[in-house]
Amino acid sequence: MNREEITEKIAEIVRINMPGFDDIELVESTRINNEAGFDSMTFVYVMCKIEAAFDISIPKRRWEKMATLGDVVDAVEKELAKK
Amino acid sequence: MEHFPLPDSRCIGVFASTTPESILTIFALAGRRRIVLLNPDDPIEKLRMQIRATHVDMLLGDEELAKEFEGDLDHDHLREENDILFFTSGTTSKAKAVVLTEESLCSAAYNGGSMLLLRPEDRFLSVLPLSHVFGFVCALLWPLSFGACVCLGRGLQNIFFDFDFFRPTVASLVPQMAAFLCAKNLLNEELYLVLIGAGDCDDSVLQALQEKGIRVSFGYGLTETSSGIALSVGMNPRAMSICPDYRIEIANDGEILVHGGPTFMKGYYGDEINTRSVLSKGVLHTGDLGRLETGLLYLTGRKKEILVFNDGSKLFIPEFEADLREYLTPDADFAIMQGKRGEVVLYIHKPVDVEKQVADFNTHYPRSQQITRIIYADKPLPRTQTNKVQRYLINIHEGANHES
Repeated sequence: MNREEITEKIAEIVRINMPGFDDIELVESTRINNEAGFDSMTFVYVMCKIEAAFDISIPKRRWEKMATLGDVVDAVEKELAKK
Repeated sequence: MEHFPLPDSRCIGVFASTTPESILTIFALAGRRRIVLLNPDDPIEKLRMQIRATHVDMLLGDEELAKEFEGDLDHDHLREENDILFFTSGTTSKAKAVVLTEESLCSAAYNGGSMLLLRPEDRFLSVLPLSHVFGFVCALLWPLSFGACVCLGRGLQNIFFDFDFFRPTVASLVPQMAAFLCAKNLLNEELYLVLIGAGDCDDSVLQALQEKGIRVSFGYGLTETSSGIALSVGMNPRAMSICPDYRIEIANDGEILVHGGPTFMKGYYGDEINTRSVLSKGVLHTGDLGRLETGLLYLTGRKKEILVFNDGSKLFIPEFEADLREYLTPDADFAIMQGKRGEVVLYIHKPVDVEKQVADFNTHYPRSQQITRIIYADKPLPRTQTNKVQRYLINIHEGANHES
């Protein structure tokens, strides 16, 4: 799976699980923080869905450092490479 | 517990996760050693400051995590007390540890339990961090005091599945959890009582919970009081009855003063000045504003400059701003504000282009407390003659200034 496909799949997971994101462009530079509607609970929920969809586990310490969708893509890509 | 081998250490930091091992460790050491409860999910730097501030000489719980702090342990500090230290919310550099005891924590559990009864056949789901008194008392000691079954949540990432897995009848939650779980319809039908603490809930959430047949009780308390001093037990969750052993007085400026105190803290660890400023002659100054009507307490706001988040955490603004200033410039002109979604907003006149500094600063704070919006003001911030920022004159919801 290439980076573009990973990004697309993550965007789809966000849209399915967070109806409020239907009209928001989800690209690598999209910020994932409170301002964007990703409070800490929403973020954890979406990350759980992403982990399940890709069948990976991203170290929780890395979660805190993720500021953009691109950071999530980086983490997923890294974990997929280990498989 | 008497057969639990006691370590030579005198001040033991425990990474308090919701696991049987963690709880057994805490119960075995309580009253026999000084213990400091730490949240293993907190950022490393925050944990480091807490470990150093309380002179921890041994860490138990998560061995991998403990390795991070081998150089931070203090083997020279003398201590003979056998109390339990909890950290209040605050900034990393001003870590404030509250000294509580077995007696104060158990008293708080029985005190609240005398007003909000549970049944031995209840299944209580414990999902709150045990390193906070609300979690320790209201999601562990309270159900245990009734002989109820306590189901230990499997970590924040499993909270979405824990209700379906354990089928609890009672749970304690912070407002953010209650709102999210309710919106996602993740609460099980056996659940009949939810205790919400550490903040207020939207009316829509309260209504949705009530429509599911779930009774909501609000709790009000502080780390300094070992948890709850008032609980709602009637139809209106925001009208709270005062727990036994306390008397509430409302000061002229509206501050809630608490008289009484088998559950009061012994003080802030190593900080007599701050202790005296909030606790003197058996009266605790809460810093919260409220009113009393027919003996019931209603919260109305905060006297202190504090940001409150819906995940239950808090930030003391002056300390947070002092921390941030170290990443900017000594003459930086800025104020920390809170946006409509609860996000932390930096309103700044100078310097400009501070994204990099803010990104570095954010790494020291949990996600909910990170600065997520920067607004560049085109003129100096409004200030009083004593140079205090006049926050009420700043409107962060206007689009007049350049945002980043």
